[in-house]
Amino acid sequence: MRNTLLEVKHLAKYFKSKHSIIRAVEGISFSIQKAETLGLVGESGSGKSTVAKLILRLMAITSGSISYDGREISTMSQKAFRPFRRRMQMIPQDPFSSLNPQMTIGASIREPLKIHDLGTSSEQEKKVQEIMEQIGIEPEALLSFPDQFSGGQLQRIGIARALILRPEFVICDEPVSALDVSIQAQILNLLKELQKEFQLTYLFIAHNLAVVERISDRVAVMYLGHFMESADVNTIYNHPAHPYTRALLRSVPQMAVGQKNERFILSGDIPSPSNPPQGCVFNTRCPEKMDVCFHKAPAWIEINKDQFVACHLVK
Amino acid sequence: MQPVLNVNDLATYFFVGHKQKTILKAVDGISYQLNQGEILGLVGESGCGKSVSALSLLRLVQKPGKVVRGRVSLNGTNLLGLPEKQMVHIRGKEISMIFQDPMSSLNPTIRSGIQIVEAMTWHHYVGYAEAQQRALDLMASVGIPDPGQRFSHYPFQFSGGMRQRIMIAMAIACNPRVLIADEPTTALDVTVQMQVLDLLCQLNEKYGTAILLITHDFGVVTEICTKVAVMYAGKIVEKGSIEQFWNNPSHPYGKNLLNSTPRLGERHKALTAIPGAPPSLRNLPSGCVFHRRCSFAMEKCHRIYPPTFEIEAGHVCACWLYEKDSIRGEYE
Repeated sequence: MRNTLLEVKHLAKYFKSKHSIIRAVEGISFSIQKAETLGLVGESGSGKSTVAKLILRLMAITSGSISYDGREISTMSQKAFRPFRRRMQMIPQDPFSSLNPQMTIGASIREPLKIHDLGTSSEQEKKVQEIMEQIGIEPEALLSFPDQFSGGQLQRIGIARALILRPEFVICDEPVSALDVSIQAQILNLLKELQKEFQLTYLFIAHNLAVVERISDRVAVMYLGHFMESADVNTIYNHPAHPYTRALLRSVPQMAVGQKNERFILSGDIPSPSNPPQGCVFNTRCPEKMDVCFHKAPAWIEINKDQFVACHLVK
Repeated sequence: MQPVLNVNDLATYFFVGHKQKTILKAVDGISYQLNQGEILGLVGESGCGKSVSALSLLRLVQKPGKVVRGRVSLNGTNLLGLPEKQMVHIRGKEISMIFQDPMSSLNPTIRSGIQIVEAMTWHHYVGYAEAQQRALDLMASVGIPDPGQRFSHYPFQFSGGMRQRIMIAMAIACNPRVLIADEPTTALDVTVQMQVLDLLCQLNEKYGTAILLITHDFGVVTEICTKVAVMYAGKIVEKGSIEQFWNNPSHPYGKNLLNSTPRLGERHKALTAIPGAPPSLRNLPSGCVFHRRCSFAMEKCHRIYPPTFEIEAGHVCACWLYEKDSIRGEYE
């Protein structure tokens, strides 16, 4: 039996307003094993970041269950949840807006230790220096402020803040999408090294499929609050079963000059989650839609070992 | 054949700080040609001067920035020498621009169809009634469904991809000879990005519109460009046809940038990162601007900025590595 760290079952989150209900996440199930990386991909507005916030309890869930290391965390009291919070951290998308501009870098990195009241002042200082060395931030940075750093350096600081509590589980929410490619490669390599060194488990959210392929062991594809497909990385990229997965992969520019396949275009936009289509949510854009797709939502079924798909095409 | 757009030794500096004595060389002597029917990809990391160079062509650089030298000829007319009164008739008609963020570039209080009409009536391109009809046709041709109804919608009622299409419709309304697209797909999802790239390609094929595409994504470049120029710290370090660059990337920066771009299906290949970060314009290194991050840097690179060497016909590179092998070096 593998070592399951996080198990999410039938998770749903609705945002209710006077006039409408926005179905941001609708009945998704997945699990993450220890020391593995689950990549979560999908277009903007598909609900990826909401999933991250629900797992961290930054938002209350509407229904479903989230179990972490065998304990149900979604219904637990805030006080009981506190020790778990230390074990799960998040690396933000935009490191600049998530750092306090009036706090020095040293104070920002140290803050998590203060909040969780870990160690004496000098021990905390030592820990800050240790993590800065590991992440590759110069010691002179301690007393500087966020506006004195480049995007890549700030992202390293964001990573340092997340890792100083020595978590087991880290949610990376688009950690490299705001960075230039040369810096993006530095950060991706760093995240991989850190994972090896500390046996970290990642939930890696991104919309760049080439980036997700590099870092993930398994990948889940999300569309309009639903999971469309999930499988190990080789299956998803080489034998995708869902038309949406195929469309996403074929929409990535080929990075080849000379012989080129015909350009593939998935027409249309992602519909509004306040008024999702009947039946399968992908039926407005699906190139392989059938009659049944318009009145019946497909079930989430395992077609091969560990490959789950929600589509009427697969039986 | 005379190029449609000929940019020669263009330089734009920003004069900041105490008594404007600090000079930031955002664009420092770049040259390129754009022929009819070509798509040139101007590639580089953020802060390397791509957008400022595009704004300089249109003379939209604002204080404390200033175009300090160079020549921008559009069909033989030097745009930099024209009085503003004449320039307004060229901007948006002969040469127009698609901006990166359509939400902040469209007027939120004017119906989107009217904004397309405005582009045409302002330049007296056609009369109002005809402009209205043409706006509807344009909206249909850029792929906005149901243009009759969408004509009177405001920008906030459109999705990101649709807003970008409105911008494109506005930009091409007067059939410009040159279209500048500044990161037109950076804010979009991959599926929508492909829709917009395909649209640009169709325009280029149908009307022969020359396109200057500014991007930081080599995937976008290889998808639609015919030529490429790589920019670093205000200078073009390498340029050539897309085939030349692809088969033989020569400048260490261009090469590294290409290798640090993750591609599908290369999970197990190591991703090469470029050490360090792009230099600040306030504190540019001496000699070659890339030498601090370059693994081939020689003693000479610390002292003298390299001239451009021609590696093969039409493929030039500003790097001392090619001093001996080059067909011919142009000392500046």
